[in-house]
Amino acid sequence: MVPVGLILKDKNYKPLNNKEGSMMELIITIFLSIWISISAFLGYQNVKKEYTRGEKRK
Amino acid sequence: MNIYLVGISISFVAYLVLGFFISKRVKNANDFFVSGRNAPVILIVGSMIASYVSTGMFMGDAGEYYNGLFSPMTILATMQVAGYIVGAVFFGKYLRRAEVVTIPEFFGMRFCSSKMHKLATITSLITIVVYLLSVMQGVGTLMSLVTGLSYRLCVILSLIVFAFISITSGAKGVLITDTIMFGFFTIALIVSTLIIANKNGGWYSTVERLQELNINGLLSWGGNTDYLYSTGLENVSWGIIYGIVWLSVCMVGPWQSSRYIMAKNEHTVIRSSIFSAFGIFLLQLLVGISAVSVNLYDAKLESSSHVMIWAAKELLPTFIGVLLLTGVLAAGISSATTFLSLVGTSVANDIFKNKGKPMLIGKLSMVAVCAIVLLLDYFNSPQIFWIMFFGGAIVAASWMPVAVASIFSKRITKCGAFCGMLFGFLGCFISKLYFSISGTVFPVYLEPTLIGMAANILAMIVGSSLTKVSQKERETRALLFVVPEKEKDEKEVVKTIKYMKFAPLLGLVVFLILLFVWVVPYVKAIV
Repeated sequence: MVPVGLILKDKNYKPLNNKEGSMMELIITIFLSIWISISAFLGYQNVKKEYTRGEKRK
Repeated sequence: MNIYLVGISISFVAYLVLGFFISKRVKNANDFFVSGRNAPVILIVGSMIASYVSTGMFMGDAGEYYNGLFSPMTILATMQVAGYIVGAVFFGKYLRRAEVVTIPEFFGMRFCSSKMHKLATITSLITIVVYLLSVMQGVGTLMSLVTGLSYRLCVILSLIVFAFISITSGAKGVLITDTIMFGFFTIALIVSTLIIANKNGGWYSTVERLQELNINGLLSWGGNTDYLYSTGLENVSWGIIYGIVWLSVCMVGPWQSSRYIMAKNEHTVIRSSIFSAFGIFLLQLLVGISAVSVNLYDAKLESSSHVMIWAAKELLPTFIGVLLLTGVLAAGISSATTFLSLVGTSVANDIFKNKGKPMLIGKLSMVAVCAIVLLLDYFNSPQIFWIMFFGGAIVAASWMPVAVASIFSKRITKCGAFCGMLFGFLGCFISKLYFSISGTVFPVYLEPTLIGMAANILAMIVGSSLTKVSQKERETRALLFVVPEKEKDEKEVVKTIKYMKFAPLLGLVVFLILLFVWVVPYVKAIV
């Protein structure tokens, strides 16, 4: 396994061949799931705020 | 007789018959341009996905997966789908509330400016025509390859089909045919991917064998460094940048957000976005799995964009192959019907509003655009992927920042919005033209869309700081935040909030799918 730090530090880093592994695939997957979750959460907050506006005052 | 020609001919006849029957249900201009504004979730989702999925995905994107950009393309595809949810909530909902017929009309209304309306119309029409050209070339190429008929004849035949549907049945017909075609190509793709992956004893075993090939980074995080960029970080950056660009397109692109105008209500807009996002993520992943697997059989296809056609003909049983290719063609036709219908709606409502019979004007403009696209196709060789990317780039650069600011900024003025849209368009167009003519490959951070977006934001800030927001603009914006009485139905509100409460779990679903479809089999194969 190649350390992720090495990949991020060296901007010209090039995987030697298709056998090389790192934690980058997992990091990308986590990043993408957080990306979707945050987008959906922002949507939820907006919808909740807008459609329940005035409810509490009642 | 060529079996693929038989399958395609049957599907074409079916679409024409369908278009004919739906046209009988089109009673007025409201039906023709916005499908009576009463489309349910299923039709909005079907049309959203069918408009997005075209030959661009089955040919252009598939080619990139095949060439070794599995990771960058997965990043792009997953980042962009967030645009559906964000777009529906932060733009589509207000668009629906404004009760406009077209998106350029929304910009004109929001900024109380006919100039803004005209500029948005011009940029919208350019984008749609460019995109229509790309889809038509894709359909023509595919049909010609599998049937043996000449490319020009295939372009004309497919044009007759999508023009007939759009011209006779308008938006109503487009929504229904799009949804049927969406069901068709989704089933075809799922079945085909399962067969292709199982040919080597399942997907995990396919990944193991793919790793034995001597192709650099086929499934690794950095992708193939012998193809697009020479380093993994640049390839990943490309995926992220285009992920943001296409997120913008999914958010505000006319062929996507116009579906919201046709929805039954705001709740339909919001709920449909979750299904559209997940549907497109899944379809992209299935295309990626199928396309990258083809490397096991032939890693040196002459044209990578033909990878799915090759798979359909060489790897699948004949019937399934016909089903897949007819499904790909359906994806192309469904996108083309959406684009053409949008052109008609825009010309009749943005350019010739209150000047004659709108439906007739819409239909005539569709005929004229068909002629223009045919002419453009005659002088341009098919470049599906890059033409499609150009269309998307223009929308992202010229519309996205202005669209968001039109809802959420109190300071943006009509001058700022106009300058932003104009400079966003010019910034993207000129830099793209420069890189194309000079033949230079732009560094990943100098992507023309980013240049256009930066120009857009800068011009918007300068233009708005030099002018003042008028009282009318302030009032128009404030009205967008008033929830209409009909949208306050308690049952509907509770249901929508419940949907959105669970929406963040989509991130977890995406994580689990990518973990077990990409990370685990890849790590198992290399360790």
